[in-house]
Amino acid sequence: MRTTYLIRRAVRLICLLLPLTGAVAASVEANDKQFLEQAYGESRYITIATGNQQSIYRAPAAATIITAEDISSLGATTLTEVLEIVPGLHVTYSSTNMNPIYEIRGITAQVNRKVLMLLDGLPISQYYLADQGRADRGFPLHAVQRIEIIRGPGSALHGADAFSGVINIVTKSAREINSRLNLKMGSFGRNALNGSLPLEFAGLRGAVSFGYDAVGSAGEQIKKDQQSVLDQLVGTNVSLAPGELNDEMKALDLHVNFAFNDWSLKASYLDQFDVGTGAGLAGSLDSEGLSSTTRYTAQLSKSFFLDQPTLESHLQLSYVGYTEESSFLIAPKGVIIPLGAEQYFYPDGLYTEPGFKESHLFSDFNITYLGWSKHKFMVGVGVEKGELFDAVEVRNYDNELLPLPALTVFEKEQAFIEDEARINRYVFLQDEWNFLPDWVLTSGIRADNYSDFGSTVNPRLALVWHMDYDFTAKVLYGKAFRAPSFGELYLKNNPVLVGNEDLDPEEMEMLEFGVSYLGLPFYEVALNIFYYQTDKLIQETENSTANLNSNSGRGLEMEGTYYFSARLLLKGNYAYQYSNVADTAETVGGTPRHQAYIRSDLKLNPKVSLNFDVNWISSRSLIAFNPAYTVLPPKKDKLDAYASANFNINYTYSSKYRISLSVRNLFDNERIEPTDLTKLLPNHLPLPGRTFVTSFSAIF
Amino acid sequence: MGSNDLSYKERDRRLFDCSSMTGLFARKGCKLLFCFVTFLPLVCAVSPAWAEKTKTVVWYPELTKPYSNVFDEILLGILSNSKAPTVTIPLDAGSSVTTLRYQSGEPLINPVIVLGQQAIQLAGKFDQSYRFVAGATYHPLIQDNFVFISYHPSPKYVYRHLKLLFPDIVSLYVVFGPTSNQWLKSVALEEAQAEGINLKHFEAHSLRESAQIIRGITQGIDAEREAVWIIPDQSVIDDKVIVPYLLSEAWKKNVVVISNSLAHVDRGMLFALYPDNVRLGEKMADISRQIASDRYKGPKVQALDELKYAINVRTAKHLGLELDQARLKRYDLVFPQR
Repeated sequence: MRTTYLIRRAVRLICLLLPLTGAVAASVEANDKQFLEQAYGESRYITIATGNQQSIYRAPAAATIITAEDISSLGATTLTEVLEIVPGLHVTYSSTNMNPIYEIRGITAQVNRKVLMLLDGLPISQYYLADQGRADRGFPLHAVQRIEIIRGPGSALHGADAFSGVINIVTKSAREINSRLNLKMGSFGRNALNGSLPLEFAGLRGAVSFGYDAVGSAGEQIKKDQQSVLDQLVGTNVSLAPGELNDEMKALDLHVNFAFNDWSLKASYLDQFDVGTGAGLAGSLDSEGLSSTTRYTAQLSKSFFLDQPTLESHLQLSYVGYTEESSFLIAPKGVIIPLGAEQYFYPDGLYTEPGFKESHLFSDFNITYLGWSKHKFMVGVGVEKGELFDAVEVRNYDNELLPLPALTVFEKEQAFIEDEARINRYVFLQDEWNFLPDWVLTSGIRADNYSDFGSTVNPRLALVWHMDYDFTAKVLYGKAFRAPSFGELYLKNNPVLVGNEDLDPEEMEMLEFGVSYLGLPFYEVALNIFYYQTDKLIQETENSTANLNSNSGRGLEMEGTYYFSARLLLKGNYAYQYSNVADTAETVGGTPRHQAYIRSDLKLNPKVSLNFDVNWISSRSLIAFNPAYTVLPPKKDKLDAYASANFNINYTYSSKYRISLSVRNLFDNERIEPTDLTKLLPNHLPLPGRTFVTSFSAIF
Repeated sequence: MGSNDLSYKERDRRLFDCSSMTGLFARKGCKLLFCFVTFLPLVCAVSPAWAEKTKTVVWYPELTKPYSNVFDEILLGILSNSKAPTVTIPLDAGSSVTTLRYQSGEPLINPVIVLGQQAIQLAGKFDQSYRFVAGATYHPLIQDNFVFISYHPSPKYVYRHLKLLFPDIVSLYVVFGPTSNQWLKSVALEEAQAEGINLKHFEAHSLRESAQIIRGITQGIDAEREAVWIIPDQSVIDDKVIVPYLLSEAWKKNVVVISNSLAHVDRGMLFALYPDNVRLGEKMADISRQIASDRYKGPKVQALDELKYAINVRTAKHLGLELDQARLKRYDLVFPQR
């Protein structure tokens, strides 16, 4: 009943907006539009022909590209809102700080560390936890030109952490930026302002983009938390549950880029601050804690031999820096914690303020040689040198969790991690061999030598057969690794967990078979089937970390796009995956076995476009109880399936102004994500209900 | 997107530069300051009338994205090459001869530049005292007061590019539809002869007839010396049956098939030439200026020489074409893009 009511309201809203849309103009424009469609073949080829799109070489892989047009038609503000488009990718969240975790093909982790995250090709993962920082709430999208997502291992080209996949966020270049201002307002006190400005002087072409985004807590309720359980055990009543999940956040970002002849400079600043602690650091609601992560990047690139027919070369020097500060009220004021036979009272709760800094320097040089017939040969070398430093923690408990009379500073060797450095030197080779007509074999290998944990060698092979003008088949094999994070290696002075310096990198091997078909007039379908094995997975034991499990997984992804007409685009995909702990029948739980996505993008008339998409996540079985972590087994052994529908309408007025309204989780469905790996929340993690965002853009 | 954005910026800048006499003088520097002050009253009296008379007026259809990108690019070309103040008039549902006459003023020294089908139809209703440079559509309006640049890529460049890639090809098959204009046919035949191509042309009146012709062509074709050229025309070439059949046969027999449509190249035809809109705009501004000073000696109707090149590398490889990096870089678009 409620759903029907909502649909009726949505339809009424559309009907109210329609008279505003200048439908009359459509018939007059029809001739010129039809003519252009005939001249270019289809409307999207006008975009391609008149854009600044560069053809990018992509290694054969299961890849998805999300363009700036997709982002605009989906009405998305952050990365988390667009990635469900990708077959076999699911966005889940950590209960601490609501940090997004991108699960590809059922491979998950406590934080987002199994997917290599790149910003314009530059790795943006920290050494500390190998994620994007405590305050990461998804990358803001206003300055993004496209997002390239590759499923499957990519270490033979990208090195560490390209484990389950690679997500490369490509920002707009100077040529793609206009003078623009955009204002957003929405549910839960969302206020956002972003804009961009092209710059040109003395032959230098550049652009600046900036953005500010703030949103309050969505008000989802946590009925029971870790403290509720502890209260029961020790007879206190200090838990903040039932209470609100703290998922508020603020973000400020700035992107600058310049190009001059063969040189290009890109720099960025992203400060995610006042980020709420979600359901707390250890599963107890925390109304006081906040986190901030600031990231600075700078990237200088130069291309060589651009006029040479057989040679191409690129040099890149980059810097990434992080400053991170958090405060957590791990357990609320007045908590009593039993330690051994004793019980200890903490009038101010368990409070900590950890912080640290990181700097990463990268240099990468590669040469591609095309002088050999039927071969494209690339060789590259590089060094990454970085360190984590100035770790400091202010807390009111000691290393045994015993209460301290006052807040005490723990720094240098007393800190949770000492200054640590890492140097990684690598070399890679890749050859693309057109050994028979319509057959291409791409082979690559990369060797990495890490100063802290040794060497790793990762190969890949891709055999592609262009069977017919419209049909392509491919077989892919790849190996990947994930470097242990500094936290996993060196964490110390922590009452719950310390690092293990003997860790090896996690390993993964994947075999994949794919077919794709380009149909006429204008549809595309693709199928991928994969099988993988992971080994030496790093897991938390009683009080440390170890290379423990091996998993194996298999699955398939089907996707289709149908260009129904110049006005209507339909897209959909379905993905299945099943993974189990190697040599046993025990399921690796927590991730959806089935997921499906459909999207329709309709240009109703020259001024109005509508996007409607639905993402369906199957029920998820939960993994076996891990006694190392907590006192409470999960309440259910299965989380319910859910669907989430999103709607966006864009109204363009005189090609300079645009208003849009987007509704996420249109039908206000309950969506629960597992807190499986930590077992911190008995009822798991609720995601926000219906959310409205209105946006107004002006081009100057 | 970027070029479109640029066009706004560039358009505003040009409009400002051109319509402001102060801006013009400022650029000339201090030497002109004296003249400016001395003749200020005269300048003030004369400049509006002079600017009004020498302005260039452009009519173009106001479309949404991505269609508007095409006209934004052409306008960018016009504005960057126009020496006179330029007024751009977007056409909408309410545009008529009366409104355009009011917006554009009396017949001007510079011809009006008209872009797109709607603008040309309206221009055709004006009397001969108005002169026009028309483009961005296929169908010419052949009148004395018109110079028309067709959106059809100039066949000679198609032939030259084919010869460059496959020097042994001597014959090219093409199917014209009943609506194809005679002018295009005669240009295609004339230029084929000049470029040493034997253009084997057919005329079909329906899809069925065209399908039979294409079947006949693919059955008897000599892939070493003959190729097929597709000129998109919905009455004789359809993407459901004919194009897939042709692509399938061509793949099997290694036949070179080229097209004037980017969509076809994406789906497997070897290459297409497509409009370079910015340069088209520049050319229209040039022609407008030449007509204004009675120096224009070119044809009344001409094909499009301002072109970009797109290629399908997958098909090129299948045909055994070795494209080195330097040559690939010369293509404006390379398919497949995924």
